[in-house]
Amino acid sequence: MKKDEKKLKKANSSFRGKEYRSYGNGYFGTFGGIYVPEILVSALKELEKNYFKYKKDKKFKEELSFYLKNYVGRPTPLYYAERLSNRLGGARIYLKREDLCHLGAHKINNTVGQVLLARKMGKKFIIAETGAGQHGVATAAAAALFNMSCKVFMGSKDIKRQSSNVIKMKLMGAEVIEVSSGSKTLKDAVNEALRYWVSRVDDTYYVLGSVVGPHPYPTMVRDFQVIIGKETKKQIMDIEGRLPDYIIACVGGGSNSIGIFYPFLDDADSVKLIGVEAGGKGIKSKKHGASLGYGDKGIFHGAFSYVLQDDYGQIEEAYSISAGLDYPGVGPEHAYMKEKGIVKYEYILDSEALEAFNTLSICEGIIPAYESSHALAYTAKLAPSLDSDKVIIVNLSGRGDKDIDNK
Amino acid sequence: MYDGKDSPIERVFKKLRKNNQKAFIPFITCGFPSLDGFFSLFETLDKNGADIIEVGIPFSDPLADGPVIQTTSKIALENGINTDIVFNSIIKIRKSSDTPIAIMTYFNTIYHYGTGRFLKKAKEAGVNGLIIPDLPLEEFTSYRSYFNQVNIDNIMFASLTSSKERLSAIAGQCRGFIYCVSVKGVTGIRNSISPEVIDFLKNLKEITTLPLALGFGLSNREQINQIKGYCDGVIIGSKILSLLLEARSFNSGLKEVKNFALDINKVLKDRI
Repeated sequence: MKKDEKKLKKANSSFRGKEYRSYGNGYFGTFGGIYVPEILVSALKELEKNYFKYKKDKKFKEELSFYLKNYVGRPTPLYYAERLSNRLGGARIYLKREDLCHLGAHKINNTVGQVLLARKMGKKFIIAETGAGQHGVATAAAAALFNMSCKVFMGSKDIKRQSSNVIKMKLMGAEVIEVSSGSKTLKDAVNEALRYWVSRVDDTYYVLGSVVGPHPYPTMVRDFQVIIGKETKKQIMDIEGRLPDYIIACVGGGSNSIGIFYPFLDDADSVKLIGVEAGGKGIKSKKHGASLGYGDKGIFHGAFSYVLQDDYGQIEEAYSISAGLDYPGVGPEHAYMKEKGIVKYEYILDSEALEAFNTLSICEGIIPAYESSHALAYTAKLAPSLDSDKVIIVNLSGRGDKDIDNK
Repeated sequence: MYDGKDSPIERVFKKLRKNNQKAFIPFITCGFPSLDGFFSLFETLDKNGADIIEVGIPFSDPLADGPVIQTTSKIALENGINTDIVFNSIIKIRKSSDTPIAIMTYFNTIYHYGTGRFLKKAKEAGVNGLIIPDLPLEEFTSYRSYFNQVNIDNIMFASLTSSKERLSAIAGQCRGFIYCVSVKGVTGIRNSISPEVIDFLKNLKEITTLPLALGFGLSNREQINQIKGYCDGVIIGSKILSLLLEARSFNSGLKEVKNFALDINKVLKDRI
């Protein structure tokens, strides 16, 4: 214990140092942890042990990169959006095209990794939660790819809102389980997936879709998404011969943003990192998803982080036009980066995101997801105030076809 | 401050052990079906055999609970129940009952209230123990000092999946009794007992002298007859709450709870 405390202190004092990076015990400063029922502790420890073992395993790494290249379609391009840059006037804007991943979002990077791990661990069944359905679809695909049985928990409200994703999951052989407890949305889908996992810990693997939940999920999901940032760093050096001035990404649970930010943490003096949360209908309306900006510290879904809650610590429902940002919690590592001032967190309203959605579609012929439209909307505010020698990279985390039905 | 003496909860078990009897520990949600209904329910259980009563502070996202306690928590929250109302309710109960009370709630409720402040208020209200399903050993360690300061029993969980080393460590931190989870799953009614539960209890007995109370899934006297020889008490929540949820009227539900409590308690108090 003493040793851990020392380590923790050390990690706290030097965020950008190697201590922090190799610090795999599930705490980011005081954030993170495993606030779960006793019955899940052994399953999480088993997962932690296996994850750290396979992370270093040469064969596992080779297999993963094979599938990332040939199945997911990596590397994704880093695209200079010239027309958008000209229209906004100011900084040069690049888009990291995660929307070109198989199934149209970054989610597949994580699910291929986790389902491959599940297979190595000898698990027979895959479960997952989904809100908008993107993670559910990506899990269903990975389960089909590796021939595993898959159940996806989805709130009944979301099933109605995102019917095409339900059809996709079923096509790929997944069973969609309707969750009608609580608010009938993503947070309840996570609750129900965890409850199910408690009853089947021996043979079932839970594929969590973001950098949230108990350790080792925030660390593991981040590691599977870091490929976004690694590619970006190499690509911008090839194209521009230098690092960008800004990297902008949307934050729901926080996996696409941490994926692109992470390799730039050592450069955070010169590269400004901006996470954009859902401002919904405005902070005062209380209909938003800005957990980092306007939530409080607390324990939710197994981790200590920021969460939207009332005066007595009851979890409040989030709101956003974008289903992927409609979540009252946020990954614990983001909480830590906020506290340390490494990443700046802003918010964008529904209406601003919609405008950016239209702008990118008309300027570049790229229809962005509502989630990514938040990052684009913040870019539209920032770019005109910068000189043309400045470079902004936006993580275009997903494509917007899924959002057209709900427009 | 922790004084090393037996706590009120530990005294209950000591007394029962002398007579080779077992504790009946019902669980109810504060504010369900209403605040007045909760008081009547508490009184009914208190007068009909309950040795310790577990009172739930409702939480919006009860991860370890099945449909029944999810429903009662939701109803209680809709009735406007909050942490302060629960403490005030216990103050009121303490005017007429000294039956030990353990509070069950999820850790965010406590953390948000302020862990130190929560424990102090709980102690002042007359709470004897705390049960926090999402605060395992790893996380409890950071908060242990708060418990010692106010001398409230920290009741921890042991599960079928906990390793032997882990169970010893849990027993080392736990006070009052060990909450032994009889299923791989969440709370809720089951009709049988898995044979591995008996081995689990036998193993625990070798590890610790703390009282063992078995909970999750218990609902009938057959189950209790099977396991009572291996533990010191049973916790029953979902079954009792479902009697009320399914009853035609509150009064008829209360009558059923009374009969159930008397029946179960008879099994627990009959010497083996």
